[in-house]
Amino acid sequence: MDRLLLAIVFAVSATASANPSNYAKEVVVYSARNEQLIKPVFDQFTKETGIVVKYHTDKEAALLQKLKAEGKNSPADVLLTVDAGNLWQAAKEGVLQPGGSDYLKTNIPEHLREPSGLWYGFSIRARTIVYNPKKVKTDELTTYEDLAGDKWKKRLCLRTSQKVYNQSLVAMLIAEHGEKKTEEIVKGWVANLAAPVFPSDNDVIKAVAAGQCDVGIVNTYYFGRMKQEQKDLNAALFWPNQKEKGVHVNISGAGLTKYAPNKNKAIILLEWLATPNAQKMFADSNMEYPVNPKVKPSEEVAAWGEFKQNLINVAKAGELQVAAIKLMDRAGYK
Amino acid sequence: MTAEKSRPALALIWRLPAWFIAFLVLIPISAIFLSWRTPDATLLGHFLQTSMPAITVNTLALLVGVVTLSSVLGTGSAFLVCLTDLPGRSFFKYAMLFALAIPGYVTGFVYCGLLDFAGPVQSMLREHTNFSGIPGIRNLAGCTVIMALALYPYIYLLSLSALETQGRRAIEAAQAVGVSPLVALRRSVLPMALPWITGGAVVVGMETLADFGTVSLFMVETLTTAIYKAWYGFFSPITAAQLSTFLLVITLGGLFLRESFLRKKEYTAMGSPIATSRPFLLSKMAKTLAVSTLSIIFVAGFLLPISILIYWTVKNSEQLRASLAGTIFNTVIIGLGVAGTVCLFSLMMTMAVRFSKSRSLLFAEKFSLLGYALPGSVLAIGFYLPMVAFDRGIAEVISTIFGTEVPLLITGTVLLMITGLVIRFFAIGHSAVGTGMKRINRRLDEAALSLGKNHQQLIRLVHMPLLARALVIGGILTFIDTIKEMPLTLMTRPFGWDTLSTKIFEWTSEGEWERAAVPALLLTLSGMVSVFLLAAQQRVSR
Repeated sequence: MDRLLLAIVFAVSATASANPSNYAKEVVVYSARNEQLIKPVFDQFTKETGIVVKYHTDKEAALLQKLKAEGKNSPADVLLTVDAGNLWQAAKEGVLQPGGSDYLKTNIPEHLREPSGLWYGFSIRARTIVYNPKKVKTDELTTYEDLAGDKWKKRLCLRTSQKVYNQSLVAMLIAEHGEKKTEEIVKGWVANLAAPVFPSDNDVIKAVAAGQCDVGIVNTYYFGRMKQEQKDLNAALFWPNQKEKGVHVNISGAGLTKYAPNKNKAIILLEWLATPNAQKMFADSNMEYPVNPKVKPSEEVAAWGEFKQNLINVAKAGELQVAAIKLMDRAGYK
Repeated sequence: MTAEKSRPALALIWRLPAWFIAFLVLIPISAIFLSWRTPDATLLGHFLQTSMPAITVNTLALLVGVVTLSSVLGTGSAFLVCLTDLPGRSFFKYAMLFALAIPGYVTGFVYCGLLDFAGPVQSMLREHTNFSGIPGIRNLAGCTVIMALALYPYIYLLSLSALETQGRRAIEAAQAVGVSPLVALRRSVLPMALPWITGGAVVVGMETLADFGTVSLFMVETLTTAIYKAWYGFFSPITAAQLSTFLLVITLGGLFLRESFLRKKEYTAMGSPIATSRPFLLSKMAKTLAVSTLSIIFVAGFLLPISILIYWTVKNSEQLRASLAGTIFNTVIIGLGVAGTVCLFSLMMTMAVRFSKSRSLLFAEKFSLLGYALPGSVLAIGFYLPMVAFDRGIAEVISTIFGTEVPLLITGTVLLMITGLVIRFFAIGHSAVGTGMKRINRRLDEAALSLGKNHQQLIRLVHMPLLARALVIGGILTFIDTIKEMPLTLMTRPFGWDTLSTKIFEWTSEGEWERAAVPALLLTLSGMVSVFLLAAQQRVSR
């Protein structure tokens, strides 16, 4: 009985080895962007170019450690993430190599990519203010920093500081105002909370719509998805900091891995992602904004209005992430 | 007693699994202790300063709360079902197990959605009454209740096992000498059931410590959320490993407590469990109370969550069109692979320990249980990553010798994935087998051996039939735990080996809980099939 079991185990492992016999025909992507978003895009890529994409999804930190541990034996060609901070960290840990490409440099704005080509953004998500239109007039809203003010006492809802999107937001605030002032701002936010922090942006939007609080800070696509399901959602988006540096944006982006076995095909994939049709697919699938300035966002997304983006390089989010988390811990922002 | 001395030793192969598992568990444990060599002092200092006090309080409070509440729910239900004339007991006997099939974070999510300010319950209250002050459940108290609802079946199962085999006989025997059932319960039955009840409590305790999904939903900061933060937020697996040391310390503390509590006591079964009497007869009022209580637990822990899951599945029915057949297949294969391996190794280890006086073997057995104390993410850091590095080392050596590039051999294979999960869940399968073994009287062994049978025959003819049930139970519990696991599965799965839990992750990581209902429901159904099998096993022996 035991011999049979042992045989089964070995048979299964033998047939399930991850080492493909033929690296040449495919590109391997390690992705923190979820399967339901990337599969249709990669399928289209395969349709157009004949190159197959194999992907492995997981959280960014896990992917990073996997790449580090695998070293030059790693089968991965591309690392795809949902936050610039994580790409910065990957570059710092030395798992990326410059994917030089004039096409990419021309079609992706400077503040959304790494200067030497270590990584490029492929879609933009804005982290902006959501408010209850029945309780808040738009002339009451101005900036992220202003939400720390007394007039918002017990009216603010926030998502947990554990999520990287808030860490990047605070990192950008540190880049703009320095640590001391940012700590005051975050302390002000915490003092204004109407309820304990929520685990997800969706909870924040629901809380605002239900009247538990009047304002919150969320990524635009969560709002978009909810609005799609609930046409009469009692919430709206506001673009803060328009007189100042602009709305905080982040990217979903990718870079070439240091030991990519299939460098050329990987660059083809990256360049393809920046082409207009691919941009439309990549961005629209998650109600995000395309990076390629020649491409317009979807109708629904465009309906939220135009806004000035903060042009500070998104890499700053990564550089200051550790400082941001520590600051949030000190300020009591759970 | 002379028979012992002339007994041939059990073949070496029986002892190998014990050492093998102990060695595998040693890898992450050493990684955890070795991480102290290169401490990131500022980061660790930051944790100690800002969140450690709250984390310690929360973790211990949660631990004590969940274990206590689960014990009350589990032992209480087992008592009612087994030793009283509870109406509907044949239904409740199996119904109380069903909560095992639903992952705790799913139950948690259902209740948060229902009872939040923005949820239907509070919204309705606000609309129709002036009452707007319901306390939220996203806190330590709420988390404790939900986790107890999800975990009490472990204690229920083990208590039921103890009470059914020993409880009734003990009370009958007591009544025969004129002792009342209540006294017998207090003085004889409960003490004799302690290994089972405390065994269940240890399982519940370890599950509570290792939980991440539920506590993060309820925004409760525990040691495990700190570990996650260190790794995923601060990108410092070293600090994450260091924080895991505290987890280990707490676990060892609990295990030690249990060991010293149970030391030097014999818990073998008293003859065959054929008693069918119901020693405790309930009054009408007591019956109503008992039935209501058990019904509430059943509805709260199982019926309500699964109804909501079904509702969301129907709402998102386009998901059903996605081909999940391959995913289900993968889930079942991995589950069976891990369960089968755990059962096999557990059987061999149990036998080896029984026939050996070696203290080091006993230690290896205890050591192998520690994998259960480590959350999946810690095993990802402490086991998987070192194995990948080891794999690379081998590949380098081979390519240097033979001059050709060699791909990684074990990384990305199902074998490595199953190994990691076996380390993680060995304890749960083994606890079922181990307690089954405890019940087999050693005199049975001696009798068989003195009649001229050798060890192999003893095992085959005497132990196996008696242990078969315990093995199946152990296998089923391991299967259920394996299919619910997420972080280790995510990290170690080969390309294309998505499982139901990784599918759930894809949706829940972006807050799309309702869309996650389809894989979550399928996961629960797989768990329910297992629970039905478990229930069938209970029936067979009656």
